[in-house]
Amino acid sequence: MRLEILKEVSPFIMLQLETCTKCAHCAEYCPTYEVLKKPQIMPGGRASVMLKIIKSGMSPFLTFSRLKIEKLNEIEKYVESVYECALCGRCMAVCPFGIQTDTLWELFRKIVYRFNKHPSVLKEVDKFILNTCNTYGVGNDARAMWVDYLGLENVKMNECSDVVYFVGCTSSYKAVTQEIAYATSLILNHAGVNWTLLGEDEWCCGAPLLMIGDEDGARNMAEHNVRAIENLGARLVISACPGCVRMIKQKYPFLIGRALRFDVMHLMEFLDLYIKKEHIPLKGLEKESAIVTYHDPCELARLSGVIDEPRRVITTVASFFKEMPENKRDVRCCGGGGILQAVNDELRLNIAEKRVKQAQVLGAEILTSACPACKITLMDGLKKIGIKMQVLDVAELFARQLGLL
Amino acid sequence: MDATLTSLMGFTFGTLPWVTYAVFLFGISLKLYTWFSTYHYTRTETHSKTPISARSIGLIIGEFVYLLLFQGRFIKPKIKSFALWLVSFSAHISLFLILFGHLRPVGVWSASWFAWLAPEQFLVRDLPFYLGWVLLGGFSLLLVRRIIDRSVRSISGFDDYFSLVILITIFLAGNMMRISPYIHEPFMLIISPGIVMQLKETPSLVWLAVHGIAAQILIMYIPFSKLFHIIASSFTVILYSIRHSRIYRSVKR
Repeated sequence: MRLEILKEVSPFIMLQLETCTKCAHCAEYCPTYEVLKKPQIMPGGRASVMLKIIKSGMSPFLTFSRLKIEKLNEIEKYVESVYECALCGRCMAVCPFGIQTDTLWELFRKIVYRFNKHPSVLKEVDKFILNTCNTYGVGNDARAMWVDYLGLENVKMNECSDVVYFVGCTSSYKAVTQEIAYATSLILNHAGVNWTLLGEDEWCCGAPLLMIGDEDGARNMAEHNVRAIENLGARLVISACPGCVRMIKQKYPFLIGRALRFDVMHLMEFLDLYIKKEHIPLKGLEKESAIVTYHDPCELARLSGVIDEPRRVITTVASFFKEMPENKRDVRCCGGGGILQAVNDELRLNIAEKRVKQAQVLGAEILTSACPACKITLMDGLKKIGIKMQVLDVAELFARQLGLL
Repeated sequence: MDATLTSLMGFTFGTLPWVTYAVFLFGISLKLYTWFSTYHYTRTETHSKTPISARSIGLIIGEFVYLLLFQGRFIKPKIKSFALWLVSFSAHISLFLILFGHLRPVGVWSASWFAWLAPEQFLVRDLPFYLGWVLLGGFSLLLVRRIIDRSVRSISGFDDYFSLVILITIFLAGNMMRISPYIHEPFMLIISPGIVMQLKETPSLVWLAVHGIAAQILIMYIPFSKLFHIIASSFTVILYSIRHSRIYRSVKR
């Protein structure tokens, strides 16, 4: 039991944890702490709890630790602090010591999962993702049904192509975000790209499983998806979901233990590149005249460094672009990440409310983002406070202004 | 010098340093042993396709300087962040300058080297005097913040308060040495195992002893407390800067 905890830990993790001075600067910026105000939710507080639990797995002689690992209930006390987090990484972006908190929280969840102490709702989610290979618990054969619903024509399904469009679970199954998949497909066709969908061979990218703490499950998904993509001989994977992009690009190599044989791009990077190289016809483009603002998805901006690209795409198709406060690397999370919706939906909505109010103060008429989860959360936030504002993915805005939608 | 003071000085600068070195080294060894007793190290192997280029090195250095030297993460529009930066940055910079100043009586540097910058009198007497008060004020404010700010207090424990109290004691004793009456005679302080500090004047030996004891308690305490960040933060910042250079290769801050 003692060694079970230590299996997940490395000197790198210990260095990060023992550098935290509990300056609580992160408290000022953590979206969940801002709402809940619980010390164990604050990243600095969570780091000390995590250190305590890790040290409990070591010899008491080494650590002078008073927590006995036999007391598994001790861990239960801290479970809510582990999962009541949007994994937005803002604590990392404000930490004066550059502590890589995203890695820490992911590990903390792995430890809790290993002890089977994760919340029962997440046990259910974990089970149905593993069974159905998607986050909605319906048959994976329904994954590409949006193609028929929306009347998309000339779509290659699991055929050899240069590019694979990895749709992601949210855009595949959620009606409100299927438009993103549709817009992306139309853009790829318009740009003359030789692309394919994986269809039911596309499994969940595994990011939600990692968020639950189930690394083995995530590895299983990663191995399948990599095999499916590489079998088609694709050189590039494009997705409009930052979570999927980050998972495939940054996490898959670690999970499968080798480098990928293809590149991975978010749709915004691809579009920016194609606009720059004039590979995408902009004939018939009508610029949007309403005031457009952009909410940076945490996974895309802060955690993947895609910041300028969506802005360049927006300004190509919109005349009046206004920056939101707390943007770019320092973006305020909308609450849509970290599987928070399953754990504490009220918290997610409270966080979203604060973000959409910022857009309202700005006078924005169209609130854009480049993430299906952000789109849903921002729409829910607006609904919660009764503000009418159009929420669009940048892909939708782009396709619409080009007359494709 | 009376016998009590003589023995106090002998203990503080003759005997205690050996204990300090031993405890410090033991603490660091224990910490490293503890860390490396976690045996799961394989997944830190990188599969990144982006090797560190010359441009990346520039980004790494830039981020390192911004984070560690300028404590740039505190520079935010929020007033609380900016106030924290102002206090923390000024206190830490003063601390480094004062620590650098401690090397002059040891003979590592001479005030004449910096004669182009300011008169010697200013460098060795006035500047350290003011910096000492900035330092004391800064760390006292950090302690006050920890007590009155609900968020900070809620995650603070004995370690957090003790570290600040011991630091404040060192700075207070250091300042008291400067403001209490001193004898206009040179003074040679020998710290085991033979570090010699040549002082132009003899300060209050009581405050000197308090300063020396508190400083050594602090050094002994470093490996067992959050003060370990003095050593560790350079490494975390370098590691973050490397990651930063990989993620933000073409992005402005």
